[in-house]
Amino acid sequence: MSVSATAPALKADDRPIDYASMRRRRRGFVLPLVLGGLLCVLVLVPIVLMFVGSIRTGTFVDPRAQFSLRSLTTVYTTLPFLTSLAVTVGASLLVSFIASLVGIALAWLLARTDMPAKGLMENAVIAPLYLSPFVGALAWLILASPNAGLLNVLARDLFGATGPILNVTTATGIILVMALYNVPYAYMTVSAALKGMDPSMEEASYLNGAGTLSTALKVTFPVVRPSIISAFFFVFVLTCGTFSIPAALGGTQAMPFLAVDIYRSVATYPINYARAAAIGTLLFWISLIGVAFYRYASRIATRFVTVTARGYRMRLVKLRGWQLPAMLLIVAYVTLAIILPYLALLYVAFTSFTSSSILDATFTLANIQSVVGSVAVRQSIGNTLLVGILAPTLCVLLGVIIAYSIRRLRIRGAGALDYIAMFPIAVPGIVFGTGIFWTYLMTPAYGTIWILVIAFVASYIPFAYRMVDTSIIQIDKSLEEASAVCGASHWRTAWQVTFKLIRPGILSAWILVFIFSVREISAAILLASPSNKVLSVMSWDYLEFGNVQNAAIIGLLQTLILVAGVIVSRYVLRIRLSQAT
Amino acid sequence: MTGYGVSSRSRRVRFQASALAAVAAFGLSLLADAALAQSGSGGPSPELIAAAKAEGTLTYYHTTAIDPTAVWTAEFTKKYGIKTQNVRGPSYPLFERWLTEERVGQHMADVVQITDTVLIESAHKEGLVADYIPPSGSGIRPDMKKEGVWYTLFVNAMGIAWNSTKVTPEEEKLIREGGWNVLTDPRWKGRIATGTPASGGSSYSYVYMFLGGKRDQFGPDFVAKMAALKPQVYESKSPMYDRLAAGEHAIVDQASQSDMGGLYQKGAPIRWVFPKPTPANLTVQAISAKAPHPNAARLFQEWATSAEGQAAWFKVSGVASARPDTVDPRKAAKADWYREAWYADPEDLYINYLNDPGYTDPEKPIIGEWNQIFGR
Repeated sequence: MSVSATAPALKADDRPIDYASMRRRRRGFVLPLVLGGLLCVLVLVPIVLMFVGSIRTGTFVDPRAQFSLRSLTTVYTTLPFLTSLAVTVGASLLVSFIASLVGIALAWLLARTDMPAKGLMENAVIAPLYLSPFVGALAWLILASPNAGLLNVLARDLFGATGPILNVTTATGIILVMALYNVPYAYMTVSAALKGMDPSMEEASYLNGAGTLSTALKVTFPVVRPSIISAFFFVFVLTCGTFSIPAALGGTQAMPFLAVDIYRSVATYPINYARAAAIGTLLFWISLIGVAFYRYASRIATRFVTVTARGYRMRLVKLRGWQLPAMLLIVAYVTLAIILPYLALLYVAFTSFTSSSILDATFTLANIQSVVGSVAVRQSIGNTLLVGILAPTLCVLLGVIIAYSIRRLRIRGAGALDYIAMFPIAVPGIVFGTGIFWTYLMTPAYGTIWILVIAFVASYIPFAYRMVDTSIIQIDKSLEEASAVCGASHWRTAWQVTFKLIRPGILSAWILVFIFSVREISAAILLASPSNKVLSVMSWDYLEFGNVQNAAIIGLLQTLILVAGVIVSRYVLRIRLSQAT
Repeated sequence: MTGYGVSSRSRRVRFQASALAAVAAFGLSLLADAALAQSGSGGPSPELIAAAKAEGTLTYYHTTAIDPTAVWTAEFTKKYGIKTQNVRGPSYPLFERWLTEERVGQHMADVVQITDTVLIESAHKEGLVADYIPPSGSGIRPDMKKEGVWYTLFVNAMGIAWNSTKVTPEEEKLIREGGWNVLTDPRWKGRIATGTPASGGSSYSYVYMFLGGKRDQFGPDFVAKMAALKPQVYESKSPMYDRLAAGEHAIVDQASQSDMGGLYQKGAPIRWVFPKPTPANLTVQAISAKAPHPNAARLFQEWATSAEGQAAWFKVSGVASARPDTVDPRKAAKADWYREAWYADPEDLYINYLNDPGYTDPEKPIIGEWNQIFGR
């Protein structure tokens, strides 16, 4: 295959299967209306409620509440909030830059060079996904708070360091920890593009005498540039709405951050829902700009058809003397993102109180016994598993239906559906959770496990939809056409060809949403009730009471569930997360 | 926090012994008090117990720590066979959620616990709190209840705590003898932490003493001197205590007996004093007007205000009781921190602020003033 054929995404010409007439005959308005209605309730209503909430002086049911523009004016025009906005955007850009840089380097090393033990390395690079960022931040607080951080105390005791060698409770610290936990997203996006790219272009460059560096810069980089841009803005949007890491590492004292301001508005006196919602709308606009860039870039990135009936062979760059430094980069990343945090969590889990001196610490099994013996914890493990299976299944199912309707059935209003399905990515979990709260407050779903399932399906539909959509675009239509030419019916083609080919995409999407659902914290806190407590809420509750020990144990339990889920999918379903985009 | 290494049975025996000893020691006035409590608590009526058992379950919205609360409510379950569903949340968000649920008719909570009596009274005015006088409520100290509305579960006294490995012996002497003014000493710059009154409940009551009730004695100058030390400000106090134990901070304020006692039990190098006057805050509970299990709610309120319920709370959390006839069994036994030379009970509790106009003002003006002084 010399040059990848660009799939004319929404152009209707020269195809033997007459999707257009099929659409007219079978669908008409029913499917677009049903899908549109579903997306409106799931996605638009909570967002609209956020906007309405920003112009109410109290909650929707507060008898004294009135309409007022005061909160919007305050948030959009006064200095503390504008400063917060500038810092949030600046810090998020920095986080994306660092995470993308590391992610690109790791992706290139593992996809294009002769690094040893690639499978192991790849699993190590995406392993930080299995740790809730909130628990990761907690681990880093234990490791590198200025006076009592384990690393700082060790440096003081062993090397006589006078000041802290690392301090995560500063703006720099918060940015670096956020970057650390976003590397896997950048890695996965760029790695998928690299793996999907036709290596014959690089081959041609080598044949014409170009070296490794100039091939990487002049051929590889330009081809994967759209996926780099999409990774950058994806991380940017995620970071803008992150609440748990800056909150755990010192709140607004170290660095103003809009998502933390939102939490403070609803959790500290004077409680001001209007201000929380107004900050939410501000974040929404910022994220929407990020989503627009992300959408644009990912459309270009995924326009290349890569799943074809033709095979190809990859040529690997020989690292030679660079192998050691490259290994060191990966080892350093893995140490910072996984090994140190897990050691810190394990240490804390077995100590009777958080002691900064490992030598003086008193070790105990009492914490483990109390967590395992707690009825609330056992219930929340069950709930976590239930939500962890239901939410990704429903979410991916909906994603498949939307993507197939838009790409292959090309229903009416496809463009609008595509946009709405991407909206939730622009709304931080803590704001979306509030919207979901108000949407379902008066329905029977309120207070049950279903409200969490609904919240997670709505929050993660952009991921499921985009990943399935990407897989569909990458299918060469000639495969489906071959099936049609051989006389297979439309549905038979869809079932035996299209869905079979996008199965890896579907399963990767499932795993990603599974991971998100098990880790999610901000919306779950707002929607928690006796019958739907999940592990992430338990760890938050424990930490709020200064019980770092139990919070760490819950974080480790979450990791166990995530790893178990990923192992099942890896060895039973034979799917790797790194195939995800 | 659960369990102090003593079996519950021996603890109960010791408690009973110490309760008797305490009654003997406190003299006639307390005896009268206790007698009053006894007379009022002929126990719940068999009809109430039967109706509550028929309901079989109870939903409890609480702000206290998860595990100790679960141990405590398990005692109730053990006695009456009524299961409890405990929902924990931070004070204000949990309260707002309960308000919202009640207003739209999603009645889930039976009993609601809160650290802010002003809020629960405003909810009572809105008709969201049930009027019910538990017979045992008569044993609760008069300034620790609003008859028929809310009853105190426990009293939280707050002092100064320090990490003994992070201060010198001279500094320790200074803290123990210097009163509240020690908090403004420039030596603590970069070594001190505090909690924002905006997180409500006990932190608000604590700061209220300095900027409100005892403004003449302390006032904005005192707070400004503290702010000048650039303390680390926590939104929630418990993580601050954990960091104190770890040695991140040398000294913190708003140190409560229950939390410090818990850390002490775990072997943390923590000590604490209660300078005079000692601000105290009440953790109270009320019955939701539309409780889905009204009889279980009443029975629970009755049990929580009884000597038995209050003593059960003592077992999980060493704090001052709202009943004069319950005494910490550790104290009678001179166990734990009661045997330490540095420890002394609070002597001058500051609690009579609950009806101050400055305290009950829904705008809570001292929070704004505190934020301004701290530049937040």
